[in-house]
Amino acid sequence: MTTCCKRAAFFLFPKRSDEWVALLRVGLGVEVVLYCLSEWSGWIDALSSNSSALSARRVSEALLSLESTLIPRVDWLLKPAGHLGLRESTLLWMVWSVLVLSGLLLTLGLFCRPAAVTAWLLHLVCLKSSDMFAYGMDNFVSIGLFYLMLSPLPDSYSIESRIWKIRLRNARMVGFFRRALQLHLCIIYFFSGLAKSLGTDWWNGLNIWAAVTRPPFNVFDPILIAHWRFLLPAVGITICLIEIGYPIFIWPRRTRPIWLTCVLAMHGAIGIAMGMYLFGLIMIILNLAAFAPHWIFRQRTPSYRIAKPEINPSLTAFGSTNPPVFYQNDQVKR
Amino acid sequence: MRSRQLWIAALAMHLLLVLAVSCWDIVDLAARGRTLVPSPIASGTRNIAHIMESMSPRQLPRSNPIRQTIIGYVHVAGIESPYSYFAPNVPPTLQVVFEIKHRDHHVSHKVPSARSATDQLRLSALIDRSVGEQGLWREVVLQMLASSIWKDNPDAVEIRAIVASRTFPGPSEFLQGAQESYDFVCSYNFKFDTAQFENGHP
Repeated sequence: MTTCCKRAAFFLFPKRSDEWVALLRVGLGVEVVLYCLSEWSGWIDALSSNSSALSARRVSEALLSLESTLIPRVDWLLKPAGHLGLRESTLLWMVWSVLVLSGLLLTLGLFCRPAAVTAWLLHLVCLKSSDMFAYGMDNFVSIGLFYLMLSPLPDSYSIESRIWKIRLRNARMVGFFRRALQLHLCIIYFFSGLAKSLGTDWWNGLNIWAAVTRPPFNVFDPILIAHWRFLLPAVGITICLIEIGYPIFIWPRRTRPIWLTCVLAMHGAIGIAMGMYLFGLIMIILNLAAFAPHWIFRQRTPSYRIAKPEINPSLTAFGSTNPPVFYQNDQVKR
Repeated sequence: MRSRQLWIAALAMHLLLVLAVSCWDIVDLAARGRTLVPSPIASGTRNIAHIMESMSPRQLPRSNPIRQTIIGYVHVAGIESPYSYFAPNVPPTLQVVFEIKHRDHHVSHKVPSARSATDQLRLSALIDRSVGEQGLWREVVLQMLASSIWKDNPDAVEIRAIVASRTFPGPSEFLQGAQESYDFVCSYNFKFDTAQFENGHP
């Protein structure tokens, strides 16, 4: 039992550099800014109470209240703002502006912790109050901001840490949050792949055809896709295999680059072929941050291909059997 | 060391909730017969779905602090939704058209419009989630969309929401010239002079 716990602790608290935090921070900062810009035209309509009983915000917030009173919502901000004499539209534009500012600060790496907490909270507030209109991208931004807010900040790549000479304080906690994100992504892809493979039309490619020809995802001319119809079953089966195999093949050193490339290509293709640019972007950011931040930072210093295995002195319980050796880039070697 | 144990416990709880939401989704899909799972196994998954449902915090009274905390947490962490996008199959495309009767008795037609590509994605997600199945939620969403149409047409006395399911031909049929077809799903009439939902007949 003790050995098991020690192995778990060993796996969950590896020493890691904070490249992945930097990547997640910059990526989410850009994503938040793009999200705000894409919502600019409908911001007030989506979040205003509209003085009618059936505004989207009122319906969403009424449903949230049935779920739990602890879920943040725009109404929480509006009540104190009302006491200060602020109009609803003024407050909503203030929320939009602060969210953009948080995104910019995250991208630049200034006031990282307050910016991360603010971005997470305001994004959550807006997402929950317009929950009726939410789609996959919103959930993944919310997940990313949740992990970012909890991770050790500021990272060493931020302007903030360079100005105030802040050093990485706890490399094991950096590793812990990266593991959390990695494990979460494994669950996401496995269940997504499993659900797809239980549908008949992913095996014959008809679901791919249905997905790219239904509005508003019909970016490409259906004639072009129909001419390549013989590829559709292969694409459908490949997507199922990539997703189901993700929790297995993303860990070993040999298969990780292949699997990650496939996943990134899949999300890139979804972004381009279905017009879901923000969805594609957030999935690429989460995957790169979790499994290959060094692809971006290109820091091929000895710390990447670390020669000495990180063996915790407290793990002598392994005795004569060789403990698994975790390398800096999460590859396991026995 | 103690703080590490606390972090491990917190992560275990977090991932357990992610797993619970994802498993529930798969079991629910199988129990409703929407998957490839053979019917004898699907009937077994109905029992599992029943057991899982009885264990859900939603079974606790609304004021229960455990229910409030767990559901509040999953929303705050962004893990309340399952990950079965376009699964097990891509749902049929639903189209909503509004037939507007004006005060001067002329009739016009409109579809819910979006200002941007993102808005269009959101609107489509809303219609797919809510309009496909009969119930109060469908009525609420259609009334909400109708009220936005009414805002742009203040002289409207009655708006009829017509929902149709769009069937697109397969790739081979499409190349042979087959066209998309529409099947009537339901319609609802809304009278806006009294701002009241009049009737719905799917």
